[in-house]
Amino acid sequence: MPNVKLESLRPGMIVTVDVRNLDNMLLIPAGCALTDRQINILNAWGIAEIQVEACGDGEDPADLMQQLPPETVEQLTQELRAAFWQPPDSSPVQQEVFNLVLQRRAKQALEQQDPRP
Amino acid sequence: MSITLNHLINGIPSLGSYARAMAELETVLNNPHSTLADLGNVIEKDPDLTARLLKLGNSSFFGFPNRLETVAEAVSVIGIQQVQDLILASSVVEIFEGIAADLADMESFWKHSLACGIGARCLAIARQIPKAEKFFVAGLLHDLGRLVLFSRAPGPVVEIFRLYQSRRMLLREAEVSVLGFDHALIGETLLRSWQYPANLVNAVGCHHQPMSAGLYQLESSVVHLADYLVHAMQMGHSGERFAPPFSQKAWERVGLATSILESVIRSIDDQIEAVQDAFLKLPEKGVLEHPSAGPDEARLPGQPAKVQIPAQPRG
Repeated sequence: MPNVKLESLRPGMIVTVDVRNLDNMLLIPAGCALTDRQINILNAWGIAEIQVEACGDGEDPADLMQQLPPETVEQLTQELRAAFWQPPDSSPVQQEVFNLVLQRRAKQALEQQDPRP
Repeated sequence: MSITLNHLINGIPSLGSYARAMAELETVLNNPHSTLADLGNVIEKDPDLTARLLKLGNSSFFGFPNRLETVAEAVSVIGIQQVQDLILASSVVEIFEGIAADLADMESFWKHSLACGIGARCLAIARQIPKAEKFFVAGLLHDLGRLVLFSRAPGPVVEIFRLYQSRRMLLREAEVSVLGFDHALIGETLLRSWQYPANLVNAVGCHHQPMSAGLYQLESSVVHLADYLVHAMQMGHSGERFAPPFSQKAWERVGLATSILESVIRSIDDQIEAVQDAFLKLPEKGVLEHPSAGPDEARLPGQPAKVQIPAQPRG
């Protein structure tokens, strides 16, 4: 799933793809739950980001939409649709872009509703 | 009143106060005995440039794990060509910061442009095109023609926006109907007159029709896609209220999987603040500003007090 930057890595995150250094030496195998020590190892090897499993803090798009009232989702969708010159469903790529930016707006709306520390 | 392209771009200085640093850099680069430290010395003579370079070098834009302390360090990890590209980008921001600051919402305009630069660079990196910083510059400058319009043709700009608001149309179409040409052509002509590299000139000139860019279809396509994404994200404001028409051919030319879009959008969100900080938030010293003139006198002759870009509809 997502690439996560070194500074955002936390112990317990699950590594999804083998992490290797430039010499192809295996540093952390996929499936491992990260430890502090392993984060230090990444730092020592100068690895900037690795792939980990998405954590379940509302990042899943379906979850995200369900946390908002349906009329808010509908309003966001309509507003966003009006901001496109061509209908967003004109092609699969445009549809994908539309879905992604809609999720992004939904996330922003949620954060405004419920500002987290 | 008809305005010609040449009239619009005539006399806009090309490198602003960075001209000296760029010329010295060129000399050092052409000397086979130069060392990295010599290069660092040239840049360090310009404290403003040094601050910007280190800020950017230490930001999420590059994401280096270790802190860069000196310019020589920054040059060695970022690369000489890339540093030149970044100076170029800073210099254009600087030139127009001075002349157009009170004509429109410049902060929002630059946010759109910088985000487009970040997006273009991310797409280029994903496509494994070498020297991705070129794409940052191309993305940053894609709407340069609009800045020329704001600063040089305030009268026609008012007319363009009046027409634009009267019906559903693209801002580019309103430009063509008032002036006979659009911002892309203005930007292209200005950059060509500054003798910028052909790939950059064409990427800017063809960002709305990337397939007409001849040899530079890939560059233009990358900028086209980045522009579309940033419009879709509604990040900053270029003046255009719509995400512009999308070129499927450009997407195919770049040849990436749709799964890349999510990470490009995330990168833009992650990096925009740091990049804005490095490029915009330093003491302003616009080259056209007269040192003794107050903010009001700093405007170009004949410039009106303010032209409002219509705000983007937002929830």
